[in-house]
Amino acid sequence: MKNKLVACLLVALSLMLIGCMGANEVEEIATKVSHEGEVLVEEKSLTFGTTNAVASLDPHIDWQGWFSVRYGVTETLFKLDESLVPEPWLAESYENLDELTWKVTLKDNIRFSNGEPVTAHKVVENMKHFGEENYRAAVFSTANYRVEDDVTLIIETEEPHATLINDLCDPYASIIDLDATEDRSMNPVGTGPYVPVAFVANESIDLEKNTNYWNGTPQLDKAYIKTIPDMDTLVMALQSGEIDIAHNITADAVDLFQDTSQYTISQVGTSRAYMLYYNLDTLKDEAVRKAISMAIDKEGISTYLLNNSATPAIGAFPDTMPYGGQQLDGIAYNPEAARKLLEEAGYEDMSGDGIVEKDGEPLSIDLVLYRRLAQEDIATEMQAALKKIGIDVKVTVFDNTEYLKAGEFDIGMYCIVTTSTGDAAAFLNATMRTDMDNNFGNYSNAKVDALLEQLLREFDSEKRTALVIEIQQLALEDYAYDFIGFNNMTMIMKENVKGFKSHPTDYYQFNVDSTIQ
Amino acid sequence: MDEVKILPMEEKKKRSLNFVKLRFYLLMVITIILIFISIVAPYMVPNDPYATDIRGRNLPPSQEFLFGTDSHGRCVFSRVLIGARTSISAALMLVIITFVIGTTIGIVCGYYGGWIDNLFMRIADILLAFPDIILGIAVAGIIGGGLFNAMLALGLTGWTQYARVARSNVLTMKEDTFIQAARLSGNSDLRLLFRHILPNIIGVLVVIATLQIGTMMMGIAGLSFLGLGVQVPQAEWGSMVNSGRSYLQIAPWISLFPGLVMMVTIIIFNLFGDALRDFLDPRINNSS
Repeated sequence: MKNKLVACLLVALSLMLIGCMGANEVEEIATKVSHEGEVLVEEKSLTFGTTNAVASLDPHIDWQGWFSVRYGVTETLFKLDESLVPEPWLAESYENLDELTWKVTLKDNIRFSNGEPVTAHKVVENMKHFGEENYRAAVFSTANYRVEDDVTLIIETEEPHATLINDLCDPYASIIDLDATEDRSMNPVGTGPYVPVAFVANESIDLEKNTNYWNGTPQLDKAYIKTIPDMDTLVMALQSGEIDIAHNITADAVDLFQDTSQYTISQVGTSRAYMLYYNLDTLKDEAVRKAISMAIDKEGISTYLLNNSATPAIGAFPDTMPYGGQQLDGIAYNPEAARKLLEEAGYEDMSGDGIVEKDGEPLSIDLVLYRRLAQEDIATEMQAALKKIGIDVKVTVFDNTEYLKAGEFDIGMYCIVTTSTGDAAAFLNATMRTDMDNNFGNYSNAKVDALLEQLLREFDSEKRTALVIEIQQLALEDYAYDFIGFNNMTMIMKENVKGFKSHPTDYYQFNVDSTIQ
Repeated sequence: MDEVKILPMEEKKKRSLNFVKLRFYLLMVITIILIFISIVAPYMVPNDPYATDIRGRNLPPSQEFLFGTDSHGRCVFSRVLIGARTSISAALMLVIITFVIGTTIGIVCGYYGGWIDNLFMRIADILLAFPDIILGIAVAGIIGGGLFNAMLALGLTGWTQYARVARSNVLTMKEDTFIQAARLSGNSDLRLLFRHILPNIIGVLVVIATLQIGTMMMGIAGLSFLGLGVQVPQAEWGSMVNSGRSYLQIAPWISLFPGLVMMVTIIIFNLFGDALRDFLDPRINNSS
């Protein structure tokens, strides 16, 4: 018996030792280096944990630029401020000469990380390149360019394009040294404070400071980006100290990091909306769509279910924008009225099973969604809420969004950034215009189409705002869409990590001041 | 001297016999109660297991919510009860179906032999070469989630156990004199198989089946845990454990109670299988 006990203790002890090793290893290596190399200044490095996997560092393709800008590898000509208004970054200024012509002046002290200066000529090369590579940048593939001198260039677009400067803030518009970069997916040469030294696709990125940086000296010597796909593992990695900063933590996990002497929480509202597409081909009865919208407790979902990790929405854009929800008339949460509305429309529960029927057909709808952030939680809540007003909801969860394109749904839930560059037109045009790519519910309203056409050609910002408000209001009154809430993004870091701040865009995390003390 | 030695042996045998019987009846009663609970669960739940209350999320166990509430504010205790129905009835049904199919294939293969035997035994060999949960994941992954598909995935390999055992038993039995006699007196093959052979091998098969209940329950829960079993918001133990995974540090009761109940249930079914085997064991039973 005694022997057994001793054996058990030994096993437990050795397990504990193995468990401790992971954390100590890193520190040991760090001290070894400083002993052998006799480096007196301590090397500053931190590890950044994220659930996002990076397939390629080439900023020009797809959405990959988000990562290279986020990790301080590349930069764009203009940058969005906290309310998503463009301000100069690599550019010094711009001038809108006429509807088609834009003059951009560059700062004259900018260098790529390899020491090469950034010239107007190289910027034009970049514009042509991402115009070709990225479908969102189509305007740049058809534009004409003129280089006036080393820092001045003229862009002539084929059609009037009011949001050109906003588009230049999109990370795909990163300026890289195309001549010097052999393998852009592995090692793009940008202008940011950090350069990638080792990149393993979908796993990790090792960064080192850019000694040629144009805007000060980066505070960190090294940074390690680590992809941890599972949220729970990410949370535990931050608790164990394996990572110093965790990006996009879920609301409920935030409760674990409330000790401000150990952790700093940085939270910001974004324009990533949880939205509903009503399929107008299958849910033809407007009363049903209206009743559904009335039965959704957006306030409760945001505050309680999502633990304040979302802000309730009315329209497609957050209140911080001039054309945000406060400008719109939305429908109020009122399940009692929703039930009455259904009754007036001829839906009544004759069979006594709690589900209303019309002409003997029970009212049953398919709610379809894909796994993304809190969508499943919202769907479960909607299912329970709609059951209360007598609607039976079948929830189907997919891994990708193909179901939306196929139109196989009554309500499709979607999670999308409605204004990634401070511009409302792109989202509205793709989503609400007849036959457009993202108009999954087949919404068609001639007036909305006409207003959208007008919006694309309007340069005056006040008139644009009025148009954006009118378009949203019309779509809401047709009950073609509903917007539940906007995701708030949370970044949690150890107390000694400084210079990181959540930004509504989700791509300006690393900067020259990021550091660890 | 001899007499003195023998007496305690007899005594021991008698005592162990009583113990085996007692254990069997006790576990049988517990098992029946369990199955009974799973059947009447909808009438026993203290709260609606599907009613969400977003203002009462992650509440710790209390008098109103015996096992606390989950991340949607649903009563965990009610969901565990309702989940019992899904878990236990699905496992029982699965075991019964695989038992019938597997046994039929087994005795037919054993009795007739030839190509039919070769065909089914090679299929069984192939299926047995895969770890069943991995095969289950693959199958459920291809044909999609849902309880029925998860059961199908598990049933695909489940029958092989019964087929193997039934076949080998039939092989040794079919040359027995009483079978020869029955055949000579003009019994049809069907009657031979089901009237004379099956009753003689059913005992060992029933024991396997009882032990399989726990395994199947775990299989279904495993697939549900991975999101390949039941769909939201249906209550099932495996998916409940999974849904509480993110809340282990905040609200451990969401995962703990379904897991605990599942563990106890599987242990009871396994013990019952054990007890049944001992009970049917001729070495113990015949001596009485």
